[in-house]
Amino acid sequence: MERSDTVEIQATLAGDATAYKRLVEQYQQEIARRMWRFTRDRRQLEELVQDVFVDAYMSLKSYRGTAPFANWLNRIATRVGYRFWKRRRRTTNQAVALQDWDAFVARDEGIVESHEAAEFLHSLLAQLPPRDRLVLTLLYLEELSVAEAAERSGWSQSMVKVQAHRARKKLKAILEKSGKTAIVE
Amino acid sequence: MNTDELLTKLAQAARGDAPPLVDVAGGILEAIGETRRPSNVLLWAFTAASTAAAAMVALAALFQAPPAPTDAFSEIMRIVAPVI
Repeated sequence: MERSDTVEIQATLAGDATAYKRLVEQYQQEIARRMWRFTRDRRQLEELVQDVFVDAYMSLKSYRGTAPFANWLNRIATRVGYRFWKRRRRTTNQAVALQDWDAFVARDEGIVESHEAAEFLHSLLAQLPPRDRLVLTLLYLEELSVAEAAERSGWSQSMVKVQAHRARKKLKAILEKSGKTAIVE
Repeated sequence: MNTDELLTKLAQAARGDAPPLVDVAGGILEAIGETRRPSNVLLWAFTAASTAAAAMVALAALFQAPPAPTDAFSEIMRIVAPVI
């Protein structure tokens, strides 16, 4: 952890609110990158980033300083994002939106814009329940190892492996059901 | 292509995707204040409800009717009933 983080955290705990504002300024874009995996909506993104920093402030006393502050924030961000997916799933019934599938698999990687690929992947993973979606997001989009995904999600490593296996199977079934035959295992 | 390869391919293609710039620092202190407020409201509501309940119990005790007088036969029966 950078020394400045320690100083700012101690100042925040001592009642200096502007110290926390400086921490937010330092980490908000990194957290925004994490939360961009959970929503593609700009307004929701800002709300999620804000929720992460509010949650972090509320539990700042429990931060022991053994891991970098950024790691601690990322764990909170994962929790907030997962909670957001669970809440949304209860209120909205997302329809299967795989109309871009054929066009996408036919194109070369070089032609596909990164934001297009991200949008497509987001809509593809949105077909899955939050737990499956989270494990695939951590392993593929965040490119974390099983151990890192376990640490981020709070699950055991074997749980991550089992969940990832189930999630891939469910995704395969969804694609096959939609007539997307490019998947063969 | 299996699901693992598909997800890897998509994730690689999406690697350069970046979120729009966000700035929540300006409103973070207000957001924290908003989050804290409901807990204070709950605390006050709980305190008020507890005080009201205690006052009602005290009033009920104050205005409770005195016990009904008992006759001599009932009093004797109350004492000897466990024995017989």
